[in-house]
Parts: sequence; C-alpha cells; structure tokens
Amino acid sequence: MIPRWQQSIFWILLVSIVGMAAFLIRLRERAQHRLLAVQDVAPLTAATDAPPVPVTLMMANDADGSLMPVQRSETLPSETTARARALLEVLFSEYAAPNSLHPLAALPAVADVYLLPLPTSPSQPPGQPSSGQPPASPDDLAVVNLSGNFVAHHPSGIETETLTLLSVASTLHANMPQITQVHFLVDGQQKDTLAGHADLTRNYLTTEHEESTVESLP
Amino acid sequence: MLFLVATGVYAQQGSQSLRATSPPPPSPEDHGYVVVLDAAHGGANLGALLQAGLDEKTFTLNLANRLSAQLRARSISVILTRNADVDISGDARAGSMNHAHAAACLSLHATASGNGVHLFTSSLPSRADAAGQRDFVPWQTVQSRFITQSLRLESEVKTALAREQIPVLLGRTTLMPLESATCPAIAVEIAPLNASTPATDPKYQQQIVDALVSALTHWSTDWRTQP
Repeated sequence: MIPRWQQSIFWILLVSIVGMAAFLIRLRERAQHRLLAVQDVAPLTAATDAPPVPVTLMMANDADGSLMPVQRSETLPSETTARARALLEVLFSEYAAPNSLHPLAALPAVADVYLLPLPTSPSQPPGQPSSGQPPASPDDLAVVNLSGNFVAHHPSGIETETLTLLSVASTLHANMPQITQVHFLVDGQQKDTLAGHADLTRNYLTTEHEESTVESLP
Repeated sequence: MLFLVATGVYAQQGSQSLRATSPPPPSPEDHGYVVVLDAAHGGANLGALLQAGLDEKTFTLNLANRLSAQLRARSISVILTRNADVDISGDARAGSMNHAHAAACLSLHATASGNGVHLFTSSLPSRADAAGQRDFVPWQTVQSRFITQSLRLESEVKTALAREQIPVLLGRTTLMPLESATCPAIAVEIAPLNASTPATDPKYQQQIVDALVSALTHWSTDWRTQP
C-alpha cells in the first residue's frame, strides 16, 4: 500500500514535469521566431534619407563575352558588407530584367557578403625585422555566399558561368577598390562549379576579366 | 583505348595524393600525332539542357563520335575520354589526356547561352622551367607549361571556324580537365548560331565538325614546329 503523501508527491512531480516540458517547448518556439525575425531584417535596409550614390555595374554580355561598365544611381547602406550585398542585388536585378544581355533568373542571388583582410605578400623587404605575424594589407577578400536556389537556376555553360563570376568580382572592385579577390560559396558551403563548368574552388582576382574576355569574331 | 583510359585513371589517382611532376612537353619524335576528344559531362552529370529532351552530355558524346570518325578517316589517331554515358571525374579525364601524350586535347561542351562557338584556354599564367631543370608543379596548374601551345591551337581552330563564317568568341577560364592537361588543350563550347539556328542544327554541326577537322589536320603539321 502506497502512503497517501507519496501518491500526492508523485502527482505533483508529474504535473510539474509536464508543465516544464510545455514551458520549454514554448520558449524554444519563441527563440526560433526571434532568430527568424533577426534574419528577415538583416542587412539590406538602407536609410531612407540616404542620398543616392553613383555606382558602376560591370555588366556581362553573352553575345560578345564582354563586361561593360554601366553607371547607375542607387541608395546603398553605409555598412561595408551590407553595401557590397546591396550592390550585388542591384547587379542581379539588372540581369533579371527583360531584354538582359546576360539573362539570369529573378531570384534572390546573394545571401551574404563577408570581407576578410588579405595578408600582404610574404616577401619581406631586406633589412626589415619580421614581427612574426603577416602585416595587415589594405586589400580585402570578399566571400560571396550565393543562394542555392539561385545557383540551381543559373544557366549552364562555360561562358555564361564565367561571365557571372567575373561580373560580380569586377563590380565589387569597381565600387570598393579595396576588394581585390573574391571567393564564392553556395549556401555557406564550398561547391565545385557554379552550374557544371566555372570553378568555384579558387579565388577570383577582380582584374581577371581584363584577360578573360578578349575577342569575338566575325 | 579502354586500357589507356584506365591507365590514366589509376596513374592520376596516384599522382594526386602528392604533387604531380610535370613531364616535359611531348616530343614529336617520341610520340605520333594523337588527338584526345573529351565529351564533357556524362552519367548523372547532365550538363546544360539544350532543348527539351537533349542534355549537353548526349550532345557532346555524339559530337565527339562524329568528329573522331572523320579524323580517323584522315588517319589521325583519336582517343575519347568516354565513349558511353558515364560520368568521369575531371582528374580522370586529364589523366587520359596526359597518358596519351596528345598533340591536341579538345574538351567539347555545348550551351544554350550566347551564340557561335566559344573557345576557352586555361586562365593560368604561362610558365616555363629554367633551362635543364624540371620543377615540381601542382596538379591543378600543370597546364601552365602548355599555355603558349594551347593559345596557338586555339588560334588554329578560330581561323578554321571563321573560314566557315561561324562567330567565334575567345576567352580564358578555370575548367577541369584543362588545368591539369599536359598537352595543348582548349575547351570548345558550341552555342546556337543565332535565334533561328540551334546548336542541334545538322548543317551548323557539320560546319563545326568540318572546321575542327580542318584545324586539327593543319595542326598535325604545325604542332611539330611549336616550342
């Protein structure tokens, strides 16, 4: 025979356990909503009273394999990485427009852009003492995290893929000259190619388009 | 041929684990004139969708077979990196090219974007070993020792295509297996001729095959004079 006081404690503990479980589930849901809300408002909002600034978009042309500078006036965020992302969204919105010379799907293309300082060249000037750490360089590596959905809808081909990558790299450099190299990720992961051809495992130099798109005949 | 491909695959797997020792450029005295045709994609790797029901992998394989038949009819030795619908890694394709000691390596692609034929060489900078030395070269940059020859091969193909009145676009890119090929290597990407002539148009395709055969026939004499 179980004493009455033990039965009472059992039921009290059971109710407490169920109550705490419900409370924890509720807390988890609220935390999840809070995180999603933070992502929604993340980087792209520019101050509404910020004046438009001239930007240069290096627009690709599939017909002749060229990149041509196009001037636009855009309102951009002041924070550097948000500015870079907003700039690329402007670029991709141009490609999604009707009659684009390098047509791409009208989908959100860039999830994030991160800037990392590049180390300077390892070669040390003669006679200069080494501090052990590579000195800071004024140059930045931009890590562009592309959306997987956008990449899945990107046209497949050596020319079109190469032009997209070079267009991104040279547009970033044209507006933010400190960016000298660009690395591409897809949904935060390393991917071998953009859409089966152009290599995504290496860094792209922002001046590469000057050598890569050269000539068309006749 | 299968033996050569298999040898290339296994040898390549071995060399990848460390660093590839870059062999000297193929000597015309040691090896005959061999052309390697690489039909891009295959198996589950479909490549571009050119039109409903036609993937890039099928197009490139058909083109490679057609081109190889015409080259063999001119007594030119041809090796295909694949002759069936199988997916082969870029490293294995490069291995096939390298073990063939090829005089010309063509990676065949197709796309629905742009127009004409796009010719690509590796974007690696050209480099040459110091006289009498053989430097170690990372597997991914082996092609850097053949850039000059690749550009000359590209020029040869460009001239032949222009003769057929086909628009040509030249470019440089980073693309396997070109990066690891120890031969003059280019990627040939076939786009629609214009809005009314798709890449699958038989007459257009025949013009391209004729131009490539002409270029490779001409290259069979030219490549012996390359540095």
